[in-house]
Amino acid sequence: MHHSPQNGKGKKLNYTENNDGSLTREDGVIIPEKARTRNEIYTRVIGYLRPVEQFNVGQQASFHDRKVYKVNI
Amino acid sequence: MKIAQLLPVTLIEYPGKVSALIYTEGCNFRCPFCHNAELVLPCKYKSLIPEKEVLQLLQERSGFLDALAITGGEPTLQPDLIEFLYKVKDLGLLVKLDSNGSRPEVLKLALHLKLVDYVAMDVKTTFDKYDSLIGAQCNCNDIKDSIDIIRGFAPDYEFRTTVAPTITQDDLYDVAEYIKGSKRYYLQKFITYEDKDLIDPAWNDKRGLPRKKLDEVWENVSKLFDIGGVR
Repeated sequence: MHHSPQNGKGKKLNYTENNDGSLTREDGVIIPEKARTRNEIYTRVIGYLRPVEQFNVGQQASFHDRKVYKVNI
Repeated sequence: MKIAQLLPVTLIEYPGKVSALIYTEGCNFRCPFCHNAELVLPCKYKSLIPEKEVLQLLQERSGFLDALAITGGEPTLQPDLIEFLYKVKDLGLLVKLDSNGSRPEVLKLALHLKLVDYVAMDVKTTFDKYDSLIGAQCNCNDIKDSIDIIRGFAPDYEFRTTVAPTITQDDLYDVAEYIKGSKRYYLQKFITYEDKDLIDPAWNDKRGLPRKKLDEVWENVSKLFDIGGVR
């Protein structure tokens, strides 16, 4: 059943959040709050894989401050 | 949702189901052979039916209806389609969605959220002739993505080609070859009504391939599909 789109480039669509919890995607599509699901983020920046939600406040803030960058060697 | 017309009961829209049918207003294609000018050309738009009225009628009849079919226009252009589908699903109805395949991201979302049970998509013609046939710019990668998404994720689906004037047998063989292995494929004979203008009235008197030619094509491609035919 895994038949993923081959032809178009996997488009990433940006969105903005509305007051009622729904999202407006850049192509105009409104995604109702009902359609959204929690996205649990795991990271191993503290040394082992762990959900960010279970970090303490300080660690969470530190996680969100982090930037992703590429090193060209 | 911009709903322009409502057909309370139809037996032919959703295979094997009793359904209501709504037409949404607005389309990004300008197929000269299209019958629904009042849903496509802004200068011909008529008054809309409030979504609330439609939902109320559906609720009253939900015991007698199996499904709601949504056609247009191009339904996937409606920004609040997903929200509307949730409301229809809450009534316990199956949903059939028609699309020209130009908005794969919407189809993907609707199918992922399990809001659509049957997708009917037009494959208008062979890809290199798309733009000239539909009278608009269209990214064929979107059309191809839609085909892949529907084949992969739609619980049930059909592809169909309305054999408009200028479409040749070779074009149909090309289309069939591209979508071979699909569940359903229908060739639809192009018809006109005497009292109704097409989007391009100059096409009123044009004729598509005759039925005999369509039968001939179907005979050659029928083995590529589970179900289908000329209609």
